[in-house]
Order: sequence, then C-alpha cells, then structure tokens
Amino acid sequence: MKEKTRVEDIDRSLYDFRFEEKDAFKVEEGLTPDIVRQISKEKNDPEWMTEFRLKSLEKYNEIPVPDWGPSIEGLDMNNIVTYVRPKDNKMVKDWEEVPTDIRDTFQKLGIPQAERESLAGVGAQFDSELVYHNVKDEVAAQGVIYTDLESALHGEYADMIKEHFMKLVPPTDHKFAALHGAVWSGGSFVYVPPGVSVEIPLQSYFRLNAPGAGQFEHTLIIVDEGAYLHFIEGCSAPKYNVANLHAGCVELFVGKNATLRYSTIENWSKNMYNLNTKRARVEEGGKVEWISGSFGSHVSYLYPMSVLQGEGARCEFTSVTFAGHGQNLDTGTKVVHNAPNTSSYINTRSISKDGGISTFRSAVVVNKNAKGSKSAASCESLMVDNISRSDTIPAMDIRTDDADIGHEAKIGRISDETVFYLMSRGMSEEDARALIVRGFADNVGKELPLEYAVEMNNLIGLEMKGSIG
Amino acid sequence: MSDKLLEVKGLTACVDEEEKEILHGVDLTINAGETHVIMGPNGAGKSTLGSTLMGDPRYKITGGSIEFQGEDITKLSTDKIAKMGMFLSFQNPIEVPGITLANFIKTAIENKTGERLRFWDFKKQLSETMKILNMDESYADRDLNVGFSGGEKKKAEILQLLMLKPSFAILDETDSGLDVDAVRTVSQGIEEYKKTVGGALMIITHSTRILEALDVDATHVLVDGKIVANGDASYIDEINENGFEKFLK
Amino acid sequence: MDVKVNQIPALTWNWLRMNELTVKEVKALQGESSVSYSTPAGIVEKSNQDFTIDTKTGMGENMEKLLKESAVLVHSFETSDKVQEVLKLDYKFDGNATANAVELKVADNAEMTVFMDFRSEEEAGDAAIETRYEIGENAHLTLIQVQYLGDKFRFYNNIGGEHAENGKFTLIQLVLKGDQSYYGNYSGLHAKKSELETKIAYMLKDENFLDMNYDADHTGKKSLCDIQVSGVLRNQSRKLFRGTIDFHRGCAGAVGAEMEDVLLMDESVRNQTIPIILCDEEDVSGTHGASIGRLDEGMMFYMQSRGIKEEAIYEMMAKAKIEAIANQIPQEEIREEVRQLLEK
Repeated sequence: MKEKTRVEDIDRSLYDFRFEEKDAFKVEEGLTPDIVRQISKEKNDPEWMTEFRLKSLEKYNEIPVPDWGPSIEGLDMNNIVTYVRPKDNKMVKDWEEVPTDIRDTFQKLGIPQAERESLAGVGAQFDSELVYHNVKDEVAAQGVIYTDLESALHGEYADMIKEHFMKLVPPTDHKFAALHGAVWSGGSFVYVPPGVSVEIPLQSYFRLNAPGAGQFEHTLIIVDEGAYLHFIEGCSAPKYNVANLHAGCVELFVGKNATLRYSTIENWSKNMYNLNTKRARVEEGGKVEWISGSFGSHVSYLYPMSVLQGEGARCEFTSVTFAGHGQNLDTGTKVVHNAPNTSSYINTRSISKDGGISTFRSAVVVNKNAKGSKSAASCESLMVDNISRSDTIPAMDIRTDDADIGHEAKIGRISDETVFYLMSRGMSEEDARALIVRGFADNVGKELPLEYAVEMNNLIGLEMKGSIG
Repeated sequence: MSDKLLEVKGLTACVDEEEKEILHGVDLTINAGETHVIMGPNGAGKSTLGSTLMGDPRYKITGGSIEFQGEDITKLSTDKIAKMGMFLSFQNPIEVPGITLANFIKTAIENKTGERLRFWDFKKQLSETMKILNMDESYADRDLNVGFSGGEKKKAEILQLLMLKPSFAILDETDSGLDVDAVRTVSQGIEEYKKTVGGALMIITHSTRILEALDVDATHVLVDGKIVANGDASYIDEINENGFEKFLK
Repeated sequence: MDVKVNQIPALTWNWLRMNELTVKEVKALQGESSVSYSTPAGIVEKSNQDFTIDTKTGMGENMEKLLKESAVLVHSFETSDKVQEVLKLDYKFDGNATANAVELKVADNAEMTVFMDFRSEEEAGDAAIETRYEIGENAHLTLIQVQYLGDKFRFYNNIGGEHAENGKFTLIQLVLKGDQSYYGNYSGLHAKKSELETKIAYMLKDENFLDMNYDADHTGKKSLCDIQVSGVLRNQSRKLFRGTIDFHRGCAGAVGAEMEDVLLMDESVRNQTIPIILCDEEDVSGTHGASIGRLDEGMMFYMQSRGIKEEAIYEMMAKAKIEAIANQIPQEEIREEVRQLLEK
C-alpha cells in the first residue's frame, strides 16, 4: 500500500497539474436553448449551424439515456458548463503567442517538442477553443488543409464542412451525439487532396482544464482518393472532485484507395465521463486503421465504427483498454460491411485491475450485398486480481451466405507459471507482472509511433506498480 | 496419337489473389499408362502445376491450354476433371470433420459411377485395399484425415487412388516427411495401382525412394515456372548427384 | 399478445435487436398435449399442481408466467438410483397451443437419461414445454431432445435447473424440423465442480427461425461449462444464438467454453450470434469461438478433386454436422432414430 501512494504521486505529476483561470469566459451551467443560442453567438456560427444546434438540443431532450452500458448517474447535465473559453482567446500559429499558463501546460505535456521532432502539424485545444494550430510548410504546400473547424466553417471550405458535418454521426444517433450537435466547440478539420501522402503524422491535443466543464470538440477528416494520412489524437485533464464530461465526435471520410490511420491514447482524469463517438466511412479499396488505447476516465463509452461502403474497403481495429480503480470502461467497435469483398480485422485486449471494470462490446454486421466479405476478431481479457471485472459482449449479424466470419474471445489471468519463470530469472514479482501486462498490450504498442508507445508503456508501468502485495 | 492422355501447352498461371505469375509457360505431354517425374528446386512451381491441372480455384490460368483425354479442361470445375479420371494426391491432405473416410470414398465412387454401391461389396473392397496399405481398419470410421499422422494421411490418399481407379494420377510429394516403412507401404500402393489400374502417373518428388520400383518413362525439370529440361529415367540419378545447379542458367 | 423472452443477462445496443425476442401474437396456452411413456424401474413419477424446483429458466419469467397460466399439472420424474434404461417421453402435439410441464430430479449419486421426442400431428400449431431439473451431488442427468415438427409449427422449449456439488447436466438438442423454435436453458452452476455440457445441432430451411438463449451461471468453485452449437441454414431461414458464460466472484477455478459453427447454404439466410462472457473472478478461464460461413475453399477443392459435386458436398456436410452431434448420444436406438429422420 505504501508503494501505491508513492505511485499515485508520480501519476499526478504527469497529467494532473492545473491552474485557475479567473478571467475565462464561461456560459452558465446546464443546458437550455438560451445557453445553446449563446454559444452559437459567441462562436459566430452561420445561421444553419445555429438551427442545427437547436434541433440537436430537441433531439437530446427526446432520446433516453442508454439502458445497456455503465451507469452515468453521477453525471448531472445541470452542473456541466458546456462552453469555457480562455480570456481574449485567439488561435495562433506560434507557441510564443500562446498565453503563458496555457503554453506551460502544453509544454509539460510535451506537445511543442513532439511537434518539432516528429509531427507534420499540431492543433492544441484548451477547454472549448483551439489556442494553437500550425502545419509544416512543406505539408501545406502539398495542398493539405489542417485547421480548426471554426475557421473552416467560415473559410473557403465552408461548403465542404456543411456537406459532411454530422452526416456520418447524425444527432439522432444517440443521446450524446445529440448533445454534441447542440454544444460542439473546437476540434480540427483535415483535408488531404487526391494522391497526397502525408509521411509524418498530424496531431490534435485536447486539454480540459476547467472543473465541471464539458469538452465537445469535433474532428472532421477527409482523405481524398489514393491519399494517406496518420492522425494522432491525444487528450488529458487534471483530476477534480466534480464530474467532467467529454462528448467529442470524430467523422472520418476515407476516399477511394485512400488510407487513414487514426491513433488515440486517451488518458482523461478519473472524474471524466467520456461519451465519445467516432465513425469512419470507407470507399472502394480504402482502408481505415484505428489504434486505440483507453487508460483514463471514470466512465467510457467508446466504440469507433467503420462503415465499409465501397467494394474492397477494409478496416483494422486494434485497441487496448486498461481499467483500474474506480473506472468503468466500456469500449469496443462496430463494423458494417456494406459492399462486396470488404474485410474487417479486430484485435483487442483489455485489462482489469484494482476493482476496475472493462467491457469489450462489438457489433459486426455483414449486409446482404457484402458478398465475399471477411471478418476476423480476436479479443482477449486479462484479470489482474480478484476484485475486478471484465465482460465480453460481441454481436454478429450475418445476412449473406458468402461471408467468412471468425471470432475468438479469451478471458483469463496472468499465469503463475509465467510469473514463476520470469522470477526464476531474477525479476521481482511486480516487474514480472508488469512485463506480462505490457506484452499483453503490445498489439497497440507496436502500432504506435515510438514516443507514444513509450508513453503507453509508462502508463501501464504506473498502473501496475503497487498492484500486488 | 490415340494414346495421348494429357497435353499441356504454354500453360501460364498466377495466384488468384496476388496476380503473381507462378507458371510461365509449361509444355508437357503424357501418354496413357506412362510414368513421368517432375523434379525441381523448392518454389519452382511443381505443386502449383499439379493443383492447376486439377482446377484449383486458388490459381488462375492466364494462358495456354490443358487437354485431357482430348478435351480442353482449362475451364472445367474440379469435380468434372476428377470424374474424367484425373486424381491428385495432396501434399497436405485436408481435414474434413464429420465425414468418415469410408463414407467419403463411397460417396466419391458413387458420384463417379452414378450408381449406388452395395454396402457389403464396398466394405469388402475397402478392407482388402486397406490391408495392402497396412492401414488399421479403424481408420475407415474415423473422420477424414482428422487427427491422422502424416503417414496415415498419405496412406489415405493412396487408398483413395486405389479405390477410385483414375486413369491419371498426380502424386504431389507423396513420399515427403515419411519414414522408411511408410515410404515402402506407399510405394507398394503405387505399384498396386500400376498393376491393377495401369493408369498414367505424374510424380512430383524430391527423392528417388518412391521411384525405385517403377519404370519411369520421362523426367522433367521445372525451374522458375518453366520446364527447362526433359530426359529419361537416368536424369534422376544425375540430379541427385549434382543437384539442379546446371539448370539454373 | 406479445411476449418478451430470451433476454441476455447483459444488454447491448438496442439497434441490433438481439437483446431479447418479442414473440408476436402469442396464444394463451391451454391444456396439456398428449405424451406417452413407460417409466423404467427406479424412476418415480408424481404429478404436482406446481413446480417444486425453484430455478431461473433460459427463456425467462414471461415464458414461465405464460406456462403457469395454463395451469397444467407438473409431471415429476425422480430417481435415487443409477437408472440405465432411458425414460422416453413421446410428445404428440395437436397444435392447440398446448403446454407441458416436466420436472426431473436426480438424487445424490444417481443417474438418469431422459429422451424427449417432439412430434406433431398437424402441420401447424403451437406447443410449449418447460422442463426444470435438480441434480444432486455426484449425480448425472442426461436430457436428449429431438424436435421434428410440422413445417408451420411454433414451439417454445424452456429449461432451467440447479446443480449440487459435482452434479452434471448433459443436454443434447437436435432441431430438425419446425417453423418457429424458441429455446432457452439456464444452468445454476452454484456448487463446487458442477458441470454443464450442451450440444445443439439444428437444420433450418424455408423461413424457419430459431431463437436461443443459454445461460451458464457459475458461482461454484471449479464449475465447468461447455456449450457447442452447430447448424445449417438454408433458404431464407434465420437463427439467433445468445450464449452467456457468467463467472461470478468466488467461482475460482471455473472453466467455460462456447463454440459455434454455422454452415450457410443459401444467399438469403441470416445468422445472428451473441456469445457473452461475463467475468467477476480472476481465477477462471473462458473461451469463445465462432466460425460462420460457407465451406472452406481448400476443403471444397479437396472433395471436388475426388469427383463430388458442390451441391453434393454441401448436402454431405450439412448432414455431417447434425450427425456429429447425434453421434454423441450414447444410446444406439436414439442415434438410429435421428439417422432415419435425416434420411427423410
């Protein structure tokens, strides 16, 4: 137990720093048409967007809370501030121009350094608005657009935004999609022109600083025919005693023969309700690759969905979920095969420890026209102790005979033999267990760029420290 | 000309999914009752040739022709080719859970002849043939190839050869991975086939053990998807001594 | 009247419509259908107004209520011996929304095998049966059910029971004919080393629909379950399999496995599967595997290379799937009966 205390201290120092922004602009707590109108006015929305927000709010009030996932009783929308903007906020292209406190935050998170060393562009959001957005000149010269969604909504891509915004995830999809439609703010827009391959990743980082606030960023990515993009999404928040809410939305349009890799290491603080929606639509011969690590949040509902719309479209979903004390992480994926010869490959790992609950949930639907389609899924769960919980709820709905569907699930614990073997080579039990868990999560680790893989391994190491004895 | 059984001309084929060409124009003629040996280094396309002749859907014929018994079979489905009298002994026989070896052979014979076999006649014939191959009779009631050892799988292939009595059999590495006793048994089975059925053989092999008791009519060397040399039985010894070096340009 | 049955213990997305089944236009059940049997020595038969075994069932409370309202007598078969002779119950459903209620009790160290043969007199109609069981220490109950009903028949088959230490339940079900079939089983594996072994085979055609809900509820240490489901879908038929292995805290050393294998024969079939593993205990091992599709291409080529036509191969494999399960029935006379039904 002594060890545990020490470790939590380290954990704090990594992500759990904050400052009080006295002068930030906030809307009132709760959710009313007036608040939505106010946000819309603050953001200088075009008229269609204001209407869109208000209609979404109506939907939000109509749609019931899900009756199937983890409880979200601790989340009271009347206490959530849906819009918080740093004082005199403007988005800049130079870190030097970012207000000192905010710049320090991102520096501690290592964002400017990562940008210099290994990224093609960075967007940084603080609470509800972007504070920084920049893309390397050579990438911009290829015609790649990477900007915040608000600018895009008013600039030359306005029509493209209107055509795609919440078309893949309509506000009617579920309660929190409707909420997102009503109060969304911030997020990034990426457009990669036909044939352009962006060799190094773009990254958007979302930081929620204000207590009791919600973050509702919208990420819209269009990868045109034959193009390639790797997009990384990062997020974190300091821990508060009140509930925070994240209800972001990610819409990915993957064109003919294009490839989009979307990587996320999610490490929200453990007072966060992470009710996030991510969806990709993949055209003929295109491919979406989801790499997803879920470590943070109090409650998560996260199921990136792939709609394989064109012939030969593919998706790969690789994820790891680590649920520790006080966490109920409900994660998984949905795949809809909507065209011939489409294929999906799902590989997930979940780890439960210290009373944490992890649920793997999936749906694979193969429609009648999706002849010659293949789907293979493998999900494994690891129970690290006997006070935690791990559930596996996969569903398959196959509507053609010409499909090849395989599914495997396994649940178990760390084998004593393996621990013994490692200990016989001089490793402590703790290190042996951490090593095994790291290896177990390596399906995601080996898909991530090195520095993120290192970050993930650190997270696992921290979570595993003090987990025995 | 009347005894020409198989004539392959300029056959090119690729793996269906990858569109990668493996056979680059194979020419081969085999007359009724003859025994031909195909040799070649690993990856030369020997197994592909055997499977392609049998109409394996994994390979796409992109050019050339295959005539079997005077009929173009390039577009025929595998079962029709089999019914015409061609047989392929698989290098890796497939496991078919739920269907017993006996049931499978019976169904195959009935499909070929279009007549229902009298159970006892079949049973008797099967048990006699299994004796030749030193096969334990219990294998008849086991699921086809499921849990069979490598040797038993190959014996089960030869058992099918003897029961189905094809006019042309392709033996794909039937002797590979077998111990001396198993090779002897399999060889006996092949001799039995020659003696009782008198069909033609195309033997894909690495070794000579299986060939010792057979009169080989011709040897073909397949390198990189092409037959680069044709010779008589003496070729086999030569290759065994010197390897394929001289054929690799 | 619409009735909700076969709800899974942990719900998922409603849009999948797989959480439960709503049976439409359910007829009120009335009166018992005829059943003929002779009771082997060592088995005691009783009739009761109500079930004496308190257990959950696979199809759930709504189904239990529906059956209870029919007010039919509960036929109880009990033994405290190792009875070798099979208790054969021949049901002949007349289709008038009949109900049957059965209790099977196997005392400590006893054994009993029950064969329920479900047939119908008419092409169309409704029938329901609820079977509850209670298995004593070191006891073994084998229940074999074969369904061969009219092509327009609707059938509710609900099972549930409890195990004592080292008590084993073997359930073999063959669904060969009938239009709408609703199946459920709940096994309370609450005692040490209690065991469930389930083998199901089905063959659906036309617009047949088979809806299943199987729940293995593990609280007993070292409890075991093995659920194998194997089937063939033809024409426009549809099946939905829900299988749950529920490991509760305390069931240390428990092992659970589910295996599903579906052969799809025609373009318009629909196959739904939701295999759930819930786990609240560290020291367990749970596995699930599913293989759904047409025949493997390599296997198809191998069999075709012996001169067998594609259609014939499918016919052979379809039959083989059912036979593979039927062959695990220990009694030769029952196997023979199934074989004859398959030849029909």
